[in-house]
Amino acid sequence: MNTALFVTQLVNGLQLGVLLFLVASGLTLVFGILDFVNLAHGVFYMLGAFISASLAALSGSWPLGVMLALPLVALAGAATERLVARPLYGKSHLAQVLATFGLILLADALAMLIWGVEGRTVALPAWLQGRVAAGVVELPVYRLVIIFSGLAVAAALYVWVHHTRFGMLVRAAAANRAMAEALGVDTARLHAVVFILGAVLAGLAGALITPITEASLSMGSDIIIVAFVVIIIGGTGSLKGAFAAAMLVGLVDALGRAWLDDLFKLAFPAEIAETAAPAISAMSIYILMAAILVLRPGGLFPPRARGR
Amino acid sequence: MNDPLLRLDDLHKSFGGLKVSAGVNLAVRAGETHALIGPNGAGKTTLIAQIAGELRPDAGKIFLCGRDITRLAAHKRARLGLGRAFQVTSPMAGMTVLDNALLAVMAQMGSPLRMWRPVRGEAAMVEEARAALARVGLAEVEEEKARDLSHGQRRQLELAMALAGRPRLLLLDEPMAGLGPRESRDMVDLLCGLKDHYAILLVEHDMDAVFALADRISVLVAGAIIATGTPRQIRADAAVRRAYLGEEDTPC
Repeated sequence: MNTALFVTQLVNGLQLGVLLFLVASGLTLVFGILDFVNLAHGVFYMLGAFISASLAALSGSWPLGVMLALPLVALAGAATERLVARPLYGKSHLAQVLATFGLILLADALAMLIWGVEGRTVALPAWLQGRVAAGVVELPVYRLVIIFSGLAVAAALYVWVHHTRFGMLVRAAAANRAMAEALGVDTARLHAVVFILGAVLAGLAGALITPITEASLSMGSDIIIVAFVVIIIGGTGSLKGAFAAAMLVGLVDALGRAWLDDLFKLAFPAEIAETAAPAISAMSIYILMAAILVLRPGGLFPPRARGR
Repeated sequence: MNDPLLRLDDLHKSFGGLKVSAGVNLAVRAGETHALIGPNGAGKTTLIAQIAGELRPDAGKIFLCGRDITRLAAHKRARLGLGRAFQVTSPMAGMTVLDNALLAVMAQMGSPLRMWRPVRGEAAMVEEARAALARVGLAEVEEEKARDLSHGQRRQLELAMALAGRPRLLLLDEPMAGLGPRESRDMVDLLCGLKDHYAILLVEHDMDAVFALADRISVLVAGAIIATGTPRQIRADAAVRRAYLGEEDTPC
Protein backbone atom coordinates (compact mmCIF):
# COMPACT_ATOMS: atom_id res chain seq x y z
CA MET A 1 0.00 0.00 0.00
CA ASN A 2 1.08 3.53 -0.70
CA THR A 3 1.82 4.94 2.74
CA ALA A 4 2.11 8.55 1.65
CA LEU A 5 -1.27 8.47 -0.03
CA PHE A 6 -2.74 6.69 2.95
CA VAL A 7 -1.56 9.33 5.42
CA THR A 8 -2.74 12.10 3.13
CA GLN A 9 -6.17 10.56 2.78
CA LEU A 10 -6.30 9.88 6.51
CA VAL A 11 -5.73 13.57 7.17
CA ASN A 12 -8.26 14.53 4.53
CA GLY A 13 -10.76 12.17 6.10
CA LEU A 14 -10.16 13.54 9.59
CA GLN A 15 -10.48 17.08 8.31
CA LEU A 16 -13.77 16.26 6.61
CA GLY A 17 -14.90 14.47 9.76
CA VAL A 18 -14.13 17.45 11.95
CA LEU A 19 -16.04 19.84 9.70
CA LEU A 20 -18.95 17.42 9.55
CA PHE A 21 -18.93 17.27 13.32
CA LEU A 22 -19.10 21.05 13.62
CA VAL A 23 -22.18 21.10 11.40
CA ALA A 24 -23.77 17.92 12.76
CA SER A 25 -23.25 18.74 16.44
CA GLY A 26 -25.53 21.76 16.20
CA LEU A 27 -28.03 19.80 14.15
CA THR A 28 -28.12 16.96 16.64
CA LEU A 29 -28.33 19.26 19.68
CA VAL A 30 -31.20 21.20 18.15
CA PHE A 31 -32.95 17.97 17.20
CA GLY A 32 -32.22 16.13 20.42
CA ILE A 33 -32.82 18.94 22.87
CA LEU A 34 -35.35 21.16 21.10
CA ASP A 35 -36.97 18.34 19.11
CA PHE A 36 -36.72 20.62 16.11
CA VAL A 37 -35.76 19.45 12.61
CA ASN A 38 -33.78 22.23 11.00
CA LEU A 39 -33.28 21.59 7.31
CA ALA A 40 -31.92 25.13 7.07
CA HIS A 41 -28.98 24.37 9.37
CA GLY A 42 -26.76 24.36 6.27
CA VAL A 43 -27.65 28.01 5.72
CA PHE A 44 -25.50 28.94 8.71
CA TYR A 45 -22.62 26.97 7.19
CA MET A 46 -23.02 28.91 3.94
CA LEU A 47 -23.37 32.23 5.78
CA GLY A 48 -20.23 31.53 7.78
CA ALA A 49 -18.38 30.97 4.51
CA PHE A 50 -19.66 34.01 2.60
CA ILE A 51 -19.57 36.46 5.49
CA SER A 52 -16.05 35.46 6.52
CA ALA A 53 -14.87 35.65 2.90
CA SER A 54 -16.35 39.13 2.47
CA LEU A 55 -15.01 40.39 5.77
CA ALA A 56 -11.60 38.87 5.03
CA ALA A 57 -11.56 40.77 1.72
CA LEU A 58 -12.66 43.99 3.43
CA SER A 59 -10.29 43.81 6.36
CA GLY A 60 -7.43 42.20 4.52
CA SER A 61 -7.13 39.58 7.24
CA TRP A 62 -8.73 36.17 7.07
CA PRO A 63 -8.54 35.34 10.78
CA LEU A 64 -10.12 38.71 11.55
CA GLY A 65 -12.80 38.02 8.96
CA VAL A 66 -13.65 34.71 10.63
CA MET A 67 -13.78 36.26 14.09
CA LEU A 68 -16.08 39.03 12.91
CA ALA A 69 -18.24 36.63 10.92
CA LEU A 70 -19.17 34.42 13.86
CA PRO A 71 -21.13 37.08 15.81
CA LEU A 72 -23.03 37.87 12.61
CA VAL A 73 -23.89 34.20 12.12
CA ALA A 74 -24.99 34.16 15.77
CA LEU A 75 -27.32 37.06 14.97
CA ALA A 76 -28.73 35.17 12.00
CA GLY A 77 -29.19 32.16 14.29
CA ALA A 78 -30.96 34.26 16.91
CA ALA A 79 -33.31 35.74 14.32
CA THR A 80 -34.04 32.31 12.86
CA GLU A 81 -34.73 30.87 16.31
CA ARG A 82 -37.05 33.68 17.27
CA LEU A 83 -38.93 34.04 13.99
CA VAL A 84 -38.99 30.54 12.50
CA ALA A 85 -38.07 27.89 15.05
CA ARG A 86 -39.69 29.08 18.28
CA PRO A 87 -43.24 29.23 16.90
CA LEU A 88 -42.78 25.65 15.69
CA TYR A 89 -41.38 24.00 18.85
CA GLY A 90 -43.71 21.19 19.79
CA LYS A 91 -45.36 21.21 16.37
CA SER A 92 -45.11 18.34 13.89
CA HIS A 93 -41.78 17.60 12.25
CA LEU A 94 -43.45 18.04 8.87
CA ALA A 95 -44.36 21.65 9.71
CA GLN A 96 -40.75 22.23 10.81
CA VAL A 97 -39.36 20.66 7.65
CA LEU A 98 -41.62 22.76 5.43
CA ALA A 99 -40.82 25.99 7.24
CA THR A 100 -37.08 25.43 7.26
CA PHE A 101 -37.11 24.30 3.63
CA GLY A 102 -38.80 27.60 2.82
CA LEU A 103 -36.06 29.30 4.80
CA ILE A 104 -33.40 27.63 2.65
CA LEU A 105 -35.02 29.02 -0.51
CA LEU A 106 -35.22 32.46 1.05
CA ALA A 107 -31.64 32.38 2.31
CA ASP A 108 -30.29 31.12 -1.02
CA ALA A 109 -32.11 33.90 -2.87
CA LEU A 110 -30.81 36.52 -0.46
CA ALA A 111 -27.29 35.15 -0.70
CA MET A 112 -27.51 35.27 -4.49
CA LEU A 113 -28.61 38.93 -4.33
CA ILE A 114 -25.81 39.86 -1.96
CA TRP A 115 -22.91 37.77 -3.24
CA GLY A 116 -23.99 36.81 -6.78
CA VAL A 117 -23.85 33.35 -8.32
CA GLU A 118 -20.07 33.24 -8.40
CA GLY A 119 -18.32 31.66 -5.47
CA ARG A 120 -16.00 33.64 -3.21
CA THR A 121 -12.47 32.47 -2.65
CA VAL A 122 -10.25 33.56 0.12
CA ALA A 123 -6.49 33.48 0.53
CA LEU A 124 -4.89 32.13 3.66
CA PRO A 125 -2.28 34.21 5.43
CA ALA A 126 1.25 33.07 4.68
CA TRP A 127 1.75 31.43 8.08
CA LEU A 128 -1.10 29.03 7.37
CA GLN A 129 -0.01 28.16 3.86
CA GLY A 130 3.03 26.03 4.61
CA ARG A 131 3.40 22.29 4.82
CA VAL A 132 4.92 20.26 7.59
CA ALA A 133 6.86 17.06 7.18
CA ALA A 134 5.17 14.11 8.81
CA GLY A 135 7.30 11.05 8.17
CA VAL A 136 6.85 10.02 4.57
CA VAL A 137 4.59 12.94 3.59
CA GLU A 138 4.32 16.68 3.83
CA LEU A 139 0.96 17.79 5.17
CA PRO A 140 -0.64 21.20 4.65
CA VAL A 141 -0.49 23.15 7.92
CA TYR A 142 -3.98 24.48 7.42
CA ARG A 143 -5.63 21.06 7.34
CA LEU A 144 -3.98 20.23 10.64
CA VAL A 145 -5.22 23.55 12.03
CA ILE A 146 -8.77 22.61 11.04
CA ILE A 147 -8.45 19.19 12.66
CA PHE A 148 -7.07 20.50 15.92
CA SER A 149 -9.49 23.40 16.22
CA GLY A 150 -12.37 21.02 15.50
CA LEU A 151 -11.16 18.58 18.16
CA ALA A 152 -10.83 21.45 20.63
CA VAL A 153 -14.40 22.55 19.92
CA ALA A 154 -15.62 18.97 20.33
CA ALA A 155 -13.90 18.69 23.71
CA ALA A 156 -15.29 22.03 24.85
CA LEU A 157 -18.80 21.01 23.81
CA TYR A 158 -18.51 17.76 25.71
CA VAL A 159 -17.43 19.52 28.87
CA TRP A 160 -20.18 22.09 28.41
CA VAL A 161 -22.98 19.59 28.07
CA HIS A 162 -21.80 17.09 30.66
CA HIS A 163 -19.98 19.08 33.29
CA THR A 164 -21.32 22.62 33.55
CA ARG A 165 -24.46 23.85 35.23
CA PHE A 166 -25.74 25.25 32.00
CA GLY A 167 -25.33 21.90 30.28
CA MET A 168 -27.07 20.18 33.16
CA LEU A 169 -30.04 22.51 32.88
CA VAL A 170 -30.10 22.00 29.13
CA ARG A 171 -30.23 18.25 29.63
CA ALA A 172 -32.92 18.58 32.27
CA ALA A 173 -35.03 20.80 30.04
CA ALA A 174 -34.66 18.29 27.22
CA ALA A 175 -35.66 15.41 29.46
CA ASN A 176 -38.69 17.05 31.02
CA ARG A 177 -39.48 20.59 30.03
CA ALA A 178 -42.46 21.03 32.37
CA MET A 179 -40.43 19.86 35.33
CA ALA A 180 -37.55 22.16 34.46
CA GLU A 181 -39.89 25.13 34.23
CA ALA A 182 -41.56 24.24 37.51
CA LEU A 183 -38.11 24.29 39.09
CA GLY A 184 -37.54 27.79 37.73
CA VAL A 185 -35.56 27.12 34.55
CA ASP A 186 -36.08 29.62 31.74
CA THR A 187 -36.36 27.00 29.00
CA ALA A 188 -37.06 29.54 26.26
CA ARG A 189 -33.67 31.12 26.91
CA LEU A 190 -31.93 27.75 27.08
CA HIS A 191 -33.45 26.79 23.75
CA ALA A 192 -32.32 30.03 22.16
CA VAL A 193 -28.77 29.53 23.44
CA VAL A 194 -28.60 25.97 22.10
CA PHE A 195 -29.95 27.03 18.71
CA ILE A 196 -27.55 29.96 18.40
CA LEU A 197 -24.62 27.82 19.50
CA GLY A 198 -25.49 25.30 16.78
CA ALA A 199 -25.66 28.07 14.20
CA VAL A 200 -22.25 29.44 15.24
CA LEU A 201 -20.63 25.99 15.05
CA ALA A 202 -21.99 25.50 11.53
CA GLY A 203 -20.84 29.02 10.62
CA LEU A 204 -17.38 28.21 11.95
CA ALA A 205 -17.24 25.08 9.78
CA GLY A 206 -18.26 27.13 6.73
CA ALA A 207 -15.62 29.75 7.49
CA LEU A 208 -12.93 27.10 7.99
CA ILE A 209 -13.59 25.27 4.73
CA THR A 210 -13.69 28.39 2.55
CA PRO A 211 -9.90 28.77 2.08
CA ILE A 212 -9.76 25.15 0.83
CA THR A 213 -12.77 25.19 -1.47
CA GLU A 214 -14.71 28.43 -1.76
CA ALA A 215 -17.90 30.01 -0.49
CA SER A 216 -20.67 28.90 -2.82
CA LEU A 217 -24.46 28.94 -2.95
CA SER A 218 -24.79 25.17 -3.05
CA MET A 219 -22.51 24.42 -0.13
CA GLY A 220 -25.31 24.54 2.46
CA SER A 221 -27.45 22.00 0.67
CA ASP A 222 -24.43 19.81 0.00
CA ILE A 223 -23.41 19.57 3.62
CA ILE A 224 -26.85 19.30 5.20
CA ILE A 225 -27.60 15.91 3.66
CA VAL A 226 -24.31 14.46 4.85
CA ALA A 227 -24.86 16.09 8.25
CA PHE A 228 -28.19 14.29 8.55
CA VAL A 229 -26.46 11.04 7.60
CA VAL A 230 -24.00 11.73 10.41
CA ILE A 231 -26.62 12.34 13.08
CA ILE A 232 -28.62 9.31 12.00
CA ILE A 233 -25.54 7.08 12.15
CA GLY A 234 -24.53 8.60 15.48
CA GLY A 235 -27.98 8.39 17.01
CA THR A 236 -30.05 11.56 17.00
CA GLY A 237 -29.40 13.89 19.90
CA SER A 238 -26.08 12.34 20.89
CA LEU A 239 -22.96 14.51 20.78
CA LYS A 240 -20.72 11.50 21.23
CA GLY A 241 -22.60 9.79 18.41
CA ALA A 242 -22.26 12.81 16.15
CA PHE A 243 -18.52 12.86 16.80
CA ALA A 244 -17.97 9.17 16.17
CA ALA A 245 -20.19 9.18 13.09
CA ALA A 246 -18.61 12.34 11.64
CA MET A 247 -15.15 10.80 11.90
CA LEU A 248 -16.37 7.51 10.47
CA VAL A 249 -18.12 9.21 7.55
CA GLY A 250 -15.11 11.44 6.88
CA LEU A 251 -12.70 8.52 6.84
CA VAL A 252 -14.93 6.19 4.83
CA ASP A 253 -15.48 8.90 2.26
CA ALA A 254 -11.81 9.88 1.93
CA LEU A 255 -10.37 6.36 2.03
CA GLY A 256 -13.15 5.00 -0.18
CA ARG A 257 -12.34 7.51 -2.88
CA ALA A 258 -8.68 6.48 -2.83
CA TRP A 259 -8.88 2.71 -2.45
CA LEU A 260 -12.23 1.37 -3.44
CA ASP A 261 -11.06 0.52 -6.97
CA ASP A 262 -8.05 -1.38 -5.59
CA LEU A 263 -10.37 -3.21 -3.27
CA PHE A 264 -12.75 -4.05 -6.10
CA LYS A 265 -9.90 -5.31 -8.27
CA LEU A 266 -9.41 -8.10 -5.77
CA ALA A 267 -12.86 -9.44 -6.58
CA PHE A 268 -13.75 -8.19 -10.05
CA PRO A 269 -12.02 -7.74 -13.40
CA ALA A 270 -10.06 -4.49 -13.57
CA GLU A 271 -12.40 -2.94 -16.11
CA ILE A 272 -15.50 -3.44 -13.98
CA ALA A 273 -13.70 -2.32 -10.86
CA GLU A 274 -12.60 0.92 -12.45
CA THR A 275 -16.10 1.79 -13.64
CA ALA A 276 -17.89 0.71 -10.50
CA ALA A 277 -15.54 2.15 -7.89
CA PRO A 278 -16.17 5.87 -8.45
CA ALA A 279 -19.93 5.30 -8.47
CA ILE A 280 -19.83 3.17 -5.35
CA SER A 281 -17.44 5.47 -3.50
CA ALA A 282 -19.85 8.36 -4.01
CA MET A 283 -22.45 6.19 -2.30
CA SER A 284 -20.15 4.78 0.35
CA ILE A 285 -21.45 6.87 3.23
CA TYR A 286 -25.04 5.93 2.44
CA ILE A 287 -24.09 2.28 2.29
CA LEU A 288 -22.37 2.79 5.64
CA MET A 289 -25.53 4.35 7.06
CA ALA A 290 -27.70 1.52 5.77
CA ALA A 291 -25.35 -1.09 7.21
CA ILE A 292 -25.22 0.59 10.60
CA LEU A 293 -28.98 1.01 10.73
CA VAL A 294 -29.43 -2.69 10.00
CA LEU A 295 -27.16 -3.55 12.92
CA ARG A 296 -28.24 -0.74 15.25
CA PRO A 297 -31.54 0.83 14.21
CA GLY A 298 -31.14 3.67 16.72
CA GLY A 299 -27.66 4.58 15.51
CA LEU A 300 -24.37 4.14 17.37
CA PHE A 301 -25.58 5.98 20.47
CA PRO A 302 -29.35 5.60 20.34
CA PRO A 303 -31.50 8.20 22.06
CA ARG A 304 -32.97 7.01 25.31
CA ALA A 305 -36.73 7.07 25.60
CA ARG A 306 -37.46 10.64 26.46
CA GLY A 307 -40.07 11.97 28.83
CA ARG A 308 -42.40 14.69 27.72
CA MET B 1 -55.65 41.74 56.95
CA ASN B 2 -52.71 40.19 55.16
CA ASP B 3 -53.10 38.91 51.65
CA PRO B 4 -53.38 35.17 51.44
CA LEU B 5 -50.28 33.46 50.03
CA LEU B 6 -52.17 32.22 46.99
CA ARG B 7 -55.48 33.54 45.83
CA LEU B 8 -57.52 32.33 42.86
CA ASP B 9 -60.07 34.88 41.80
CA ASP B 10 -62.94 33.58 39.67
CA LEU B 11 -60.82 31.37 37.38
CA HIS B 12 -62.44 30.14 34.19
CA LYS B 13 -61.01 27.64 31.73
CA SER B 14 -62.79 25.75 28.98
CA PHE B 15 -61.62 23.19 26.46
CA GLY B 16 -64.01 23.58 23.56
CA GLY B 17 -67.47 23.36 25.10
CA LEU B 18 -66.21 21.70 28.26
CA LYS B 19 -65.98 24.04 31.25
CA VAL B 20 -63.16 22.65 33.37
CA SER B 21 -62.82 25.63 35.67
CA ALA B 22 -66.11 27.42 36.12
CA GLY B 23 -65.35 30.30 38.43
CA VAL B 24 -62.89 28.88 40.97
CA ASN B 25 -62.26 30.98 44.08
CA LEU B 26 -59.66 29.69 46.51
CA ALA B 27 -57.27 31.17 49.06
CA VAL B 28 -54.28 29.45 50.66
CA ARG B 29 -53.22 31.27 53.83
CA ALA B 30 -49.65 31.61 54.99
CA GLY B 31 -48.58 28.58 56.96
CA GLU B 32 -51.60 26.43 56.30
CA THR B 33 -51.86 23.07 54.61
CA HIS B 34 -54.79 23.37 52.29
CA ALA B 35 -56.09 20.23 50.63
CA LEU B 36 -57.96 20.30 47.36
CA ILE B 37 -60.19 17.29 46.88
CA GLY B 38 -62.85 16.37 44.41
CA PRO B 39 -64.10 13.46 42.36
CA ASN B 40 -62.27 12.44 39.18
CA GLY B 41 -62.97 14.89 36.40
CA ALA B 42 -63.66 17.75 38.79
CA GLY B 43 -60.89 19.78 37.20
CA LYS B 44 -58.14 19.45 39.81
CA THR B 45 -55.34 18.80 37.33
CA THR B 46 -56.37 21.70 35.12
CA LEU B 47 -56.50 23.96 38.16
CA ILE B 48 -53.00 22.94 39.26
CA ALA B 49 -51.74 23.51 35.72
CA GLN B 50 -53.16 27.03 35.79
CA ILE B 51 -51.61 27.77 39.18
CA ALA B 52 -48.23 26.46 38.03
CA GLY B 53 -48.39 28.39 34.77
CA GLU B 54 -48.62 25.54 32.29
CA LEU B 55 -52.09 26.66 31.25
CA ARG B 56 -53.52 30.15 30.92
CA PRO B 57 -56.97 30.70 32.39
CA ASP B 58 -59.58 32.11 30.00
CA ALA B 59 -60.69 34.58 32.65
CA GLY B 60 -59.98 35.35 36.27
CA LYS B 61 -56.79 36.11 38.16
CA ILE B 62 -54.15 34.32 40.20
CA PHE B 63 -52.28 36.14 42.98
CA LEU B 64 -49.14 34.93 44.73
CA CYS B 65 -48.35 37.00 47.84
CA GLY B 66 -50.63 39.72 46.54
CA ARG B 67 -48.90 39.87 43.18
CA ASP B 68 -50.86 39.17 40.03
CA ILE B 69 -49.12 36.19 38.37
CA THR B 70 -51.91 35.30 35.94
CA ARG B 71 -49.81 36.03 32.87
CA LEU B 72 -46.41 35.04 34.27
CA ALA B 73 -44.41 32.18 32.72
CA ALA B 74 -44.04 28.99 34.77
CA HIS B 75 -40.33 29.48 35.51
CA LYS B 76 -40.93 32.99 36.83
CA ARG B 77 -43.62 31.71 39.16
CA ALA B 78 -41.17 29.14 40.43
CA ARG B 79 -38.64 31.87 41.13
CA LEU B 80 -41.30 33.83 43.03
CA GLY B 81 -41.65 30.92 45.41
CA LEU B 82 -44.03 28.42 43.90
CA GLY B 83 -42.49 25.01 44.50
CA ARG B 84 -43.98 22.11 42.64
CA ALA B 85 -43.20 18.47 43.23
CA PHE B 86 -42.89 16.65 39.95
CA GLN B 87 -42.67 13.03 39.13
CA VAL B 88 -39.03 12.43 38.29
CA THR B 89 -38.97 10.88 34.85
CA SER B 90 -36.57 8.35 33.47
CA PRO B 91 -33.92 10.56 31.81
CA MET B 92 -33.02 12.45 34.97
CA ALA B 93 -32.92 9.03 36.56
CA GLY B 94 -29.41 8.68 35.15
CA MET B 95 -28.18 11.41 37.50
CA THR B 96 -27.37 10.92 41.15
CA VAL B 97 -29.79 11.95 43.88
CA LEU B 98 -27.51 14.81 44.84
CA ASP B 99 -27.22 16.05 41.26
CA ASN B 100 -30.99 16.05 40.93
CA ALA B 101 -31.25 18.19 44.04
CA LEU B 102 -28.44 20.42 42.75
CA LEU B 103 -30.36 20.84 39.53
CA ALA B 104 -33.26 22.23 41.53
CA VAL B 105 -30.99 24.65 43.40
CA MET B 106 -29.37 25.77 40.14
CA ALA B 107 -32.63 26.20 38.31
CA GLN B 108 -33.40 29.25 40.41
CA MET B 109 -30.17 31.04 39.59
CA GLY B 110 -30.57 33.74 37.02
CA SER B 111 -26.94 34.73 36.54
CA PRO B 112 -25.73 33.43 33.18
CA LEU B 113 -22.05 33.82 34.05
CA ARG B 114 -22.17 31.41 36.97
CA MET B 115 -23.87 28.90 34.72
CA TRP B 116 -20.66 27.95 32.92
CA ARG B 117 -19.05 26.69 36.08
CA PRO B 118 -18.65 23.04 37.00
CA VAL B 119 -21.77 21.44 38.41
CA ARG B 120 -20.39 20.91 41.89
CA GLY B 121 -18.10 23.90 41.88
CA GLU B 122 -19.80 25.91 44.60
CA ALA B 123 -19.89 24.57 48.14
CA ALA B 124 -22.85 26.73 49.19
CA MET B 125 -25.04 25.25 46.47
CA VAL B 126 -24.05 21.71 47.28
CA GLU B 127 -24.83 22.39 50.95
CA GLU B 128 -28.25 23.70 50.04
CA ALA B 129 -28.99 20.64 47.93
CA ARG B 130 -27.82 18.38 50.77
CA ALA B 131 -30.01 20.25 53.23
CA ALA B 132 -33.04 19.65 51.03
CA LEU B 133 -32.19 15.95 50.83
CA ALA B 134 -31.73 15.76 54.60
CA ARG B 135 -35.13 17.34 55.13
CA VAL B 136 -36.82 14.48 53.27
CA GLY B 137 -34.56 11.78 54.67
CA LEU B 138 -32.49 11.01 51.59
CA ALA B 139 -29.10 12.16 52.88
CA GLU B 140 -27.83 8.60 53.03
CA VAL B 141 -28.46 7.81 49.37
CA GLU B 142 -27.19 11.04 47.80
CA GLU B 143 -24.65 9.32 45.56
CA GLU B 144 -27.07 6.69 44.26
CA LYS B 145 -28.59 7.06 40.82
CA ALA B 146 -32.17 8.26 40.94
CA ARG B 147 -33.22 5.24 38.93
CA ASP B 148 -32.05 2.91 41.70
CA LEU B 149 -34.36 4.47 44.27
CA SER B 150 -37.54 2.79 45.45
CA HIS B 151 -40.82 4.30 44.38
CA GLY B 152 -41.29 5.94 47.76
CA GLN B 153 -37.76 7.36 47.76
CA ARG B 154 -38.35 8.82 44.32
CA ARG B 155 -41.35 10.68 45.71
CA GLN B 156 -39.13 11.95 48.50
CA LEU B 157 -36.63 13.14 45.92
CA GLU B 158 -39.34 15.03 44.06
CA LEU B 159 -40.21 16.71 47.30
CA ALA B 160 -36.57 17.55 48.00
CA MET B 161 -36.28 19.12 44.53
CA ALA B 162 -39.32 21.29 45.24
CA LEU B 163 -37.86 22.25 48.63
CA ALA B 164 -34.45 23.07 47.19
CA GLY B 165 -35.95 26.10 45.46
CA ARG B 166 -36.91 27.53 48.88
CA PRO B 167 -40.58 27.79 48.03
CA ARG B 168 -43.11 29.92 49.85
CA LEU B 169 -45.88 27.63 48.71
CA LEU B 170 -45.54 23.93 47.97
CA LEU B 171 -47.81 22.58 45.29
CA LEU B 172 -48.19 18.84 45.79
CA ASP B 173 -50.08 16.93 43.13
CA GLU B 174 -51.06 13.51 44.49
CA PRO B 175 -47.91 12.72 46.47
CA MET B 176 -49.45 9.44 47.66
CA ALA B 177 -50.36 8.13 44.20
CA GLY B 178 -48.89 4.71 43.56
CA LEU B 179 -47.43 4.32 47.04
CA GLY B 180 -48.01 1.20 49.11
CA PRO B 181 -49.57 1.43 52.59
CA ARG B 182 -46.25 1.68 54.39
CA GLU B 183 -44.75 4.15 51.96
CA SER B 184 -47.93 6.23 52.23
CA ARG B 185 -47.58 6.35 56.00
CA ASP B 186 -43.96 7.41 55.67
CA MET B 187 -44.96 10.15 53.22
CA VAL B 188 -47.68 11.41 55.58
CA ASP B 189 -45.13 11.49 58.40
CA LEU B 190 -42.72 13.37 56.18
CA LEU B 191 -45.33 15.92 55.14
CA CYS B 192 -46.40 16.29 58.78
CA GLY B 193 -42.85 17.36 59.52
CA LEU B 194 -42.84 19.83 56.62
CA LYS B 195 -46.22 21.43 57.15
CA ASP B 196 -44.99 23.59 60.01
CA HIS B 197 -42.38 25.17 57.75
CA TYR B 198 -44.22 25.61 54.46
CA ALA B 199 -47.62 26.56 53.20
CA ILE B 200 -48.88 23.60 51.17
CA LEU B 201 -51.58 23.17 48.58
CA LEU B 202 -52.20 19.44 48.48
CA VAL B 203 -54.19 17.67 45.80
CA GLU B 204 -54.80 14.13 46.95
CA HIS B 205 -57.18 11.24 46.57
CA ASP B 206 -56.07 9.44 49.71
CA MET B 207 -58.62 10.69 52.23
CA ASP B 208 -56.73 9.33 55.23
CA ALA B 209 -53.76 11.47 54.21
CA VAL B 210 -55.94 14.50 53.50
CA PHE B 211 -57.69 14.39 56.84
CA ALA B 212 -54.45 13.72 58.66
CA LEU B 213 -52.60 16.64 57.09
CA ALA B 214 -55.00 19.39 56.07
CA ASP B 215 -55.76 22.47 58.14
CA ARG B 216 -58.46 23.36 55.67
CA ILE B 217 -60.01 21.51 52.77
CA SER B 218 -61.63 22.81 49.61
CA VAL B 219 -63.91 20.59 47.59
CA LEU B 220 -63.90 20.99 43.82
CA VAL B 221 -66.89 19.61 41.97
CA ALA B 222 -67.58 20.19 38.29
CA GLY B 223 -65.11 23.05 38.06
CA ALA B 224 -66.23 25.02 41.10
CA ILE B 225 -65.42 25.02 44.80
CA ILE B 226 -68.57 23.90 46.60
CA ALA B 227 -67.18 24.08 50.12
CA THR B 228 -64.11 25.21 52.05
CA GLY B 229 -63.53 24.54 55.71
CA THR B 230 -61.76 22.57 58.41
CA PRO B 231 -61.72 18.78 58.06
CA ARG B 232 -64.48 18.60 60.67
CA GLN B 233 -66.66 21.08 58.76
CA ILE B 234 -66.06 19.28 55.47
CA ARG B 235 -66.98 15.91 56.97
CA ALA B 236 -70.21 17.43 58.21
CA ASP B 237 -71.07 19.36 55.06
CA ALA B 238 -74.21 17.98 53.47
CA ALA B 239 -73.41 19.19 49.96
CA VAL B 240 -69.96 17.61 50.10
CA ARG B 241 -71.34 14.30 51.34
CA ARG B 242 -73.84 14.31 48.54
CA ALA B 243 -71.45 15.31 45.81
CA TYR B 244 -68.41 13.42 46.83
CA LEU B 245 -67.78 11.65 50.07
CA GLY B 246 -71.03 9.73 49.98
CA GLU B 247 -70.31 8.34 46.55
CA GLU B 248 -68.37 5.46 47.91
CA ASP B 249 -67.23 4.36 51.32
CA THR B 250 -63.56 4.36 50.53
CA PRO B 251 -62.73 6.98 47.92
CA CYS B 252 -60.13 5.59 45.55
